[in-house]
Amino acid sequence: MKNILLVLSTTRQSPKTIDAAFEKAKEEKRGVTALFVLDSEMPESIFEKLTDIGFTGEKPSQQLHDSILAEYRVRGDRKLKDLGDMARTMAVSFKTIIREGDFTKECLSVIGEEEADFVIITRKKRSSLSRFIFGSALAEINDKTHCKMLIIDE
Amino acid sequence: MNVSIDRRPLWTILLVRSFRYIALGVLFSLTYLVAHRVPPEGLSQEGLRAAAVFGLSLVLWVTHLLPLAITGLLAIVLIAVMEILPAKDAYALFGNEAIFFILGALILASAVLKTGLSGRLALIMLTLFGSSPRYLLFGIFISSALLSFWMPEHAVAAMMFPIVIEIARGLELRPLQSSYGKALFIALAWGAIIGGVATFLGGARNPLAIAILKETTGKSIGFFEWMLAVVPIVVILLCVAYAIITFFCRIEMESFDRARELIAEKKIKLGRATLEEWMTGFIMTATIILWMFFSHSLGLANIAILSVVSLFVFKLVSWKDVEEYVNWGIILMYGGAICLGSAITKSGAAFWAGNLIIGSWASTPSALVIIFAVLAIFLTEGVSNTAIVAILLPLGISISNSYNIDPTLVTYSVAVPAGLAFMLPMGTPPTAIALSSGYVKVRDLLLQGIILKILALVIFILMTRYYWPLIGIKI
Repeated sequence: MKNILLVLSTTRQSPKTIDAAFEKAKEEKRGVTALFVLDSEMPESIFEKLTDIGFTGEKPSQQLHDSILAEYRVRGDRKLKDLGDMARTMAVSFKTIIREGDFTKECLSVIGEEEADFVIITRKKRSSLSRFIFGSALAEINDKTHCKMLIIDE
Repeated sequence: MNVSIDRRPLWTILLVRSFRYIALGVLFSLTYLVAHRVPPEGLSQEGLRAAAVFGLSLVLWVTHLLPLAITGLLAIVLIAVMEILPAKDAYALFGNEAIFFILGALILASAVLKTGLSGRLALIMLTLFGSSPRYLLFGIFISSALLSFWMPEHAVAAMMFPIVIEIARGLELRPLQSSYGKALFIALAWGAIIGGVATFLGGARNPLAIAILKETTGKSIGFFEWMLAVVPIVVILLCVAYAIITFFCRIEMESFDRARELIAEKKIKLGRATLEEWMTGFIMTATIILWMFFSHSLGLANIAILSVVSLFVFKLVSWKDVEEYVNWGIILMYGGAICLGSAITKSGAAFWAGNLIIGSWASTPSALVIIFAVLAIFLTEGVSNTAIVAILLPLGISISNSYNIDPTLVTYSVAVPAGLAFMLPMGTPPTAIALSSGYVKVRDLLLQGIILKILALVIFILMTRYYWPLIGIKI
């Protein structure tokens, strides 16, 4: 059977989601593939703000952008290491993928590459108004993919 | 080959993809229609055209449908094409003294960043204050603030971020869980923001305000004069902001040795101060002294440009460094904002709009200060503070002229509060930088920010009432 795809990111790391993924995997005797997306939206929006509103030059803006992403990568590595330890404890086979970029695009790309049939993902706490105005990454992923999704509220 | 299929309804896809073009088309069409209407009573045809261009610029600056600088450029072109001002006069405003002042200040700041002097100064201050968690928090806060007195606040926040993130990581502070981590990044952001209003150097909005004041009234505010009026307000705000941060964010750290070690390691890695750092520091200090005490006789821009030339004489920066560290869009934004301010004031549109929106509510100096301070301090949360100055100040100056109120009052009342955006990331880059750390949530900034904002407004108004008369600013 294919691995369950557990989707995490710099802002989606809910312990509830992680527990749900590993319990499901153990129950169904499947492995877990943990995808950690280094969401570049925040550093890119800061780069834009610094150059557009702040009129800061490209070099210091780029240095900050890279510094933020480097920090996200350290956190991603740490999180995946912790998950690896958890997988060993629970005797669940485990694989990791780190991607950097747009959360929605990278999720869809990995779902396609891994031919995932079951995805577990966190839904961030937001108001309905915010979702209506700014859209929802999960709704977009759900629209564009065939596979089953288990969405766990933060 | 993996192909992702967008399953949304076709109309949704088309609308999302073409929304920006539709919005721009509607805006340009509305501007054209408004500009060619019969003007209302009290407004000339030029005034109506100026008001239309002003409205278009306002919407573009707020919505960011075009970059701020391009909107500035568009404003100049429309002012010339619609014959609101003669083309020669419109484009001549690009040669405004304020533009050369801020250009010089940005190049000086780029030298301070490039040589590493700013990083060294930050580490020296952190070493002085790094003896306990509370002192370190204060050190980060005060370093951000003091550096923002002399350098753009956005550059200070960007420079401090890697230092503070390394400290947070070294102390094993957990993102979104550590109260102390939250405090560190809010201190970084708020220190930079508050320090940035103290002089002409902390943010582009202050020299822009002076330029609009000078172009429309012939009056000016000197470098030292500004500091005398604003620095005491900044000192009080810094105390209040620090109190708010420490009230809401527990300092749960006990073991602190790792932070001390990290700061010491970074200082050792920097090595001794280089000749370039010493010379940059000397030129910067000399420039600031000249600005403070000789700006009226020598001119702010002249001092700035001569200092820039000296940086190149001593090879402290190269032209490539300047290209990398300075964003030339500021020239376009400035030129456009000054031209727009001049156009709407000279055409009478600012007076007409100001009277329509605010009317006789601002007929006294106190009312003028309060109204414009309130507008500026709240609008700046959603709009770039430079745009706030470009939008509000011409209106305020026109109203103050009609009631024989000193226009320098409204200049302070718009420029200072416009720099105090504490709550939302779209207001100013330092708050976005704090959010990106992962330690701060939007609701932390909203809650603590609204308290600081209200207190800042009260402090500003009280200082204008009781302190400014002591230094000769009559209200």
